Amino acid sequence: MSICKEDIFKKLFERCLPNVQRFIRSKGLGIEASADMAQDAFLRLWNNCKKVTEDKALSFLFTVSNNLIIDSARRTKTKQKYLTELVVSHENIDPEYQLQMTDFKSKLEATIDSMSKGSREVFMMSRFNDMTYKEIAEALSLSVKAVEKRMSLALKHLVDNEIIKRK
Amino acid sequence: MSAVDELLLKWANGDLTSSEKEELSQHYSMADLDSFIVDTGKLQIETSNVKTEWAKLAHQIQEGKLKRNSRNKYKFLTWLIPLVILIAVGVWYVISLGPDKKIENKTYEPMLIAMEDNTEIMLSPGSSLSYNKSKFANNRKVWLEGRAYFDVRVKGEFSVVTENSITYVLGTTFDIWELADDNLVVQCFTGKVNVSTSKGMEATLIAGQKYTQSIGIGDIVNQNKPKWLSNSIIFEVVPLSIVYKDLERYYPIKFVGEISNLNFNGELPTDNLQKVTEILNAVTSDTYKIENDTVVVSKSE
Repeated sequence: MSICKEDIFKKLFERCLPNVQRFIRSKGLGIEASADMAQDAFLRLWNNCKKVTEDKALSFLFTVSNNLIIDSARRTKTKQKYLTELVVSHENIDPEYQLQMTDFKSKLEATIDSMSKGSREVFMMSRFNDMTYKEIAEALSLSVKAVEKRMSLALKHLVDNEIIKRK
Repeated sequence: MSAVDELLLKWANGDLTSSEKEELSQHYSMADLDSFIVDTGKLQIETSNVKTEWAKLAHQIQEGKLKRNSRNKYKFLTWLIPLVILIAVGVWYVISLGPDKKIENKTYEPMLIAMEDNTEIMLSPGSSLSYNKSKFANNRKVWLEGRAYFDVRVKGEFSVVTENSITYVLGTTFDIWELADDNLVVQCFTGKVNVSTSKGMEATLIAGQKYTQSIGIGDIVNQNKPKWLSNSIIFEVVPLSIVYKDLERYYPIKFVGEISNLNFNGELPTDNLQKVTEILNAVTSDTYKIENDTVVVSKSE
């Protein structure tokens, strides 16, 4: 289906924006910078709406976002330093559990920060974008096997850092 | 990957069967694993408000439409005036400044062209280059169909015209690739280039940057010359139908069968067709089989 109609594009935007922003943020950008970059990515999608079908829109957005991040880092001459920032959902969490969660969050953030780039990206998309390996593969234009390999390394890293504990 | 690692992978994707859960529980506490899912489920990456972001984007889209409409109001002038001038000078231009020499690469290998000003051009298979031989010394302009890598050694303006773009350079090394269906990729390895397309996009690239028409400006990664000169091509978000057409320049084969328009991201060799089919079989959902001088593409069951 063509995405060149504003109402269809709007629905696509509403559905995909959180995913795209989470993808950009998983690369270390803050919330404002990632919002600006996501805007840029969607504008490019709009300008290329005749060439991109709805089912390929997310993959296009991820590719554009990735290139924007690389270009931005190059222009500012900084290597993109990775820093995970997660927030605890405040839905009905008692104070004691909140404290445990804060501790878990810090450890998890540090472990994610020390993952390799490919593993980190796949892990974040799996856990925080709630995507299956097949969906991640389509979004990143990789094979499912390649995604599984990266996820396996991410899980091994979580085990080595005792976020997931073996018996 | 060990059997336990495979099970853990399936667990993370929510794919474990009951018997697999039983097996995994020999190595991990399922209660701990469930807690991990619950705890990470309570964490999220903060994102902006969707409604606010849509309002911003809708405004930009509207501004873009208004600019196009105001241009349209006087559109007749934008073609009438240049048309009059164009007709007046057209014949003179074709005779005196148009290309009068054409070089075509009908082989399956890159072709080296040494120009009169010491510029070296590697012309990719199936591509052609034209220029005005008598005027070239004063007006370094070439017309390109397909793909070529340029090493412009003498400083001064040098321009490359394709069907949909013009690239201006000032003593530099760069690669221009106009695939079928209006896809343009320009890579600048040294120096600086300015690219203008017929759709009104303009980009200035410095060394190490590339411009992809569907994506924008990005980085050239780990290359100081285009990969196709070393027997492989990198495709970024390119429909498979166009990937096949490009591969047909390097191999004496035709892709036949169920040609899809799914996008392909990856690197393919230009000197090993067997490897090409292995890679495509691994990363796409189609099946590829070499049969004499064709590659048959079919949907996997």
